[in-house]
Amino acid sequence: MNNQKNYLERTTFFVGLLILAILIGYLSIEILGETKKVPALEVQFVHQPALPGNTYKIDIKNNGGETAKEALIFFHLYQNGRVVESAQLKIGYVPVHSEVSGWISFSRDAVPTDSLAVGPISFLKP
Amino acid sequence: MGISETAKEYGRGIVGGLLFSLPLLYTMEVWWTGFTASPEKLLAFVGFTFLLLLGYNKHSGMRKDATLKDILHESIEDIALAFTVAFLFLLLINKINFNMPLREIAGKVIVESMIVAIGVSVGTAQLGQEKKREASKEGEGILQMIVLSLCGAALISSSVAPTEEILKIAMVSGPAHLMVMILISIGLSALILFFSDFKGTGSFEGGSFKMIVHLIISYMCALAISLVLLWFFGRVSGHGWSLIIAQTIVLAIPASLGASAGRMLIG
Repeated sequence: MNNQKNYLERTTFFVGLLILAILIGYLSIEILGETKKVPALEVQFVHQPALPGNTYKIDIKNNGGETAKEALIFFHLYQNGRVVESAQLKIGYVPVHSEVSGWISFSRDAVPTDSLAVGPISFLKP
Repeated sequence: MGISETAKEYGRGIVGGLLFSLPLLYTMEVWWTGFTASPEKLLAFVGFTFLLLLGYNKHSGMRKDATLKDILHESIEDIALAFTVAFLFLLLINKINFNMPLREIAGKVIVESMIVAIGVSVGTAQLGQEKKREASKEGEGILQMIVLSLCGAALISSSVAPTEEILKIAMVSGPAHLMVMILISIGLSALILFFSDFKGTGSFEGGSFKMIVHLIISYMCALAISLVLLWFFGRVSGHGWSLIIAQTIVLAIPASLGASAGRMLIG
């Protein structure tokens, strides 16, 4: 059998070796360095006056060390100190350090005293 | 081997990788596993796949006089091709992008590329002209049979292992159902290996005892691969033993086809 490897085989081999070394190194660092093993969802929202209706853009970021599965986030629209409408966002998965965006359109017209509050947040560990 | 021969071999590997793992590249449960699986699990999966690659390349992918160095070289080349194919394909179908965190990209590519790697290895060895395959057909020992059965089972059953349907079927399957599933799995293997002149089986010599031993080994490989895949895709944790066993039996139907028919096709 001819064991001489050509240039292409040698290059592919070294690329493969590099990929394996990076994968093993990266996963080992993840294993050793990870301390917080629970999801931590951070919710931010901003009113979108340019969009039709009373619409808010919602950004949900997972700052924890574990994916959040089936995250359910409630939002309450306050007008004059009273809850006038509620909405909920359901997200299948929010991976670690990922950000998911969504929009909520309330049926009530926007008034200057509007305020949006985040209600209960629930999620499962995958 | 010249560069053009190597390029053709890689071409076959890429085609094999896509051909055998395309359903997984399009399966959302596999993408999710990329970011829900722990780093420990991903590392174990990389190790397990690499062992399967070494076994396959030793027993089928290369000539009998190949040294350990040759087998290692070939397996690492397979990983390089598989990683590139999986990365580019996930990019193409927009399941990864550069706005995602590194962990999500890495997880998805690792999970997909490990499955693509077995397809690359099989494609490199089996999709060429017939004359290139003859050297690997000599002398089938028990170890070779086990390795090829494991690879065949992994290749065929990995396309359904991540789906929730396995759990749903297992939940509604009673003991009688499961018993029939076991018998059908073994019966199909017997049909493929001994009674249908299936490609690569040849004429079986050895009597009914040897036949039973072959069937048992084949089914054990199917069960083992089923359990490993179920564990990796998160279908084991949180369930009682009875449901884990039921899921393993359900998944062992396609796995046993892979361990028998798949073994003959890729070996």
